[in-house]
Amino acid sequence: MADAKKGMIKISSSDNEVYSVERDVIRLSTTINTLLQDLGMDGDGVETENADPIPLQNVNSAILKKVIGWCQYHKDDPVPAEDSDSREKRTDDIPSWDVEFLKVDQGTLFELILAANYLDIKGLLEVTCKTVANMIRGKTVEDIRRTFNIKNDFTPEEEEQIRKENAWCED
Amino acid sequence: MKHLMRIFTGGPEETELRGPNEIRHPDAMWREIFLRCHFDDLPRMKMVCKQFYAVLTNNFWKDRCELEGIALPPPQVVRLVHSRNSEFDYEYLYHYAHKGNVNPYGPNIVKDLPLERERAKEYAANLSWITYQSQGCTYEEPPVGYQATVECPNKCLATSYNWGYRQIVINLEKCGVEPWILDFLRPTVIVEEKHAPRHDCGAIYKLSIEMLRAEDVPSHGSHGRIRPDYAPNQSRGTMVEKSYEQWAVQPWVQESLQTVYPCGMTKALILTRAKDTQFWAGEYGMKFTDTVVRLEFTQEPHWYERNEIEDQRGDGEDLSSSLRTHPFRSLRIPLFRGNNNPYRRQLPGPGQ
Repeated sequence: MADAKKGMIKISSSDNEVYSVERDVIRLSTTINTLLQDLGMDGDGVETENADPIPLQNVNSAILKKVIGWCQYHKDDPVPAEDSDSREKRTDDIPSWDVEFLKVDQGTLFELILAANYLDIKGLLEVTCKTVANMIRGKTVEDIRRTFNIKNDFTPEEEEQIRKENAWCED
Repeated sequence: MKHLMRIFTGGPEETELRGPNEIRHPDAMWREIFLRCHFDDLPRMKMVCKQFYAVLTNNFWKDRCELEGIALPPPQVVRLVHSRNSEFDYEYLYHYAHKGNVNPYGPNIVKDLPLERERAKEYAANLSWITYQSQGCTYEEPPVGYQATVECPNKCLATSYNWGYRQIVINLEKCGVEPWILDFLRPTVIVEEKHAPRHDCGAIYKLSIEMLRAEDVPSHGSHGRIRPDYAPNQSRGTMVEKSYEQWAVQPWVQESLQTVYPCGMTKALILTRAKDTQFWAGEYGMKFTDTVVRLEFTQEPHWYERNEIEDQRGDGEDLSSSLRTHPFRSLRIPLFRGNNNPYRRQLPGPGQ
């Protein structure tokens, strides 16, 4: 039973599926959180049950379900501290729950990145991008093209030019 | 309401289908992925396809620097460089700063250099931008020989009755400072260091900085021996000398040296020399610590024109060689960035 005081927010996917999500869950999306604040739907006891759902035109229902699932699991995560002296981002620190969660086909993974970017869900963007970064790690150019189904659209001259451009950073 | 508008009007560009089985994902998505990729993988990414190449713009490298806490040149300098139709090469900065674990525009280039000789040697041996030598300096933690009333750093190097020295040579190009910056913008190189004599013994201290060309060998001596009368070339460096009597109860003092220099310099030689003045056995010489080296641009930076650079031949330096091998070699012309890329580089011609 949803507690009315907790506030349920209705959102709809691009294919018009409507989902009711707890305020505490959907706050992970900075885009929606800011929108709710701007609309004055932020405070306790504000009636949101009968409001129109927030249309999310760039996210279909399959992806939106996944996104909500991720947010539900992570709703109580501490806000990550801004580490001013952070050196290179590690990519081997994806939590095991997220690793399991992201065992999906490549198309879904990419759509999750786009949704996380669009909804501005920092943690989800971080783990999805790191997952792809790990797929890239150490691969040859040919391997990368094969992995992501990308066509080589360079002429041999252009390839040679880039190789020259890259030469300075080999030392 | 702008957020609401954003939601109704749609956000990022859509993934589009291009022919059978071939999908072009938005640049923004790849950008987010590349920001989190391992550094070693990125040069290869440029060779995958034109889209990847186009995503890895100068602006991307700038963001990557910021993500990893690598300081950028200050805004007034960036503006000046833009007004000259050029720009900083953030990939160059990122590459060297990342590889050398150094922050050339940060508050202290030698922040991670340990005081202890063995650890400092090990540190420098792993890095291409710094060389280190020292002799006759003993590590002390905490410093000994100070009265309780004197506020003391928690560690230092102590010298004895022979000249003890520590020499650091920093190759600024290999820290991520592009060569042309050192010629056309010439940031001031600042060195700061604290020193103090023991209260029970007189002592002397010399701190100097001198800028060197790539091919220069430090002129203050050879075979690890420092000439006691070495003083830096005045057109490229500066020196401070301090000496104190016994029982001076001298508090720790921070010296600060600033140097201006001609065209063609790439390295900074920072030399500390110190000893006691009473020839006592043990660590009775001057002690020093807390060394800071940093680059500083003025609020209204000056762009040295070519004719100004030529004029400086007057001081006896042969600058023609440095001008010939001169800069802009790191300014690579983007291949496919097209006219819509605001970061497209225009190289200053040789006549400018």
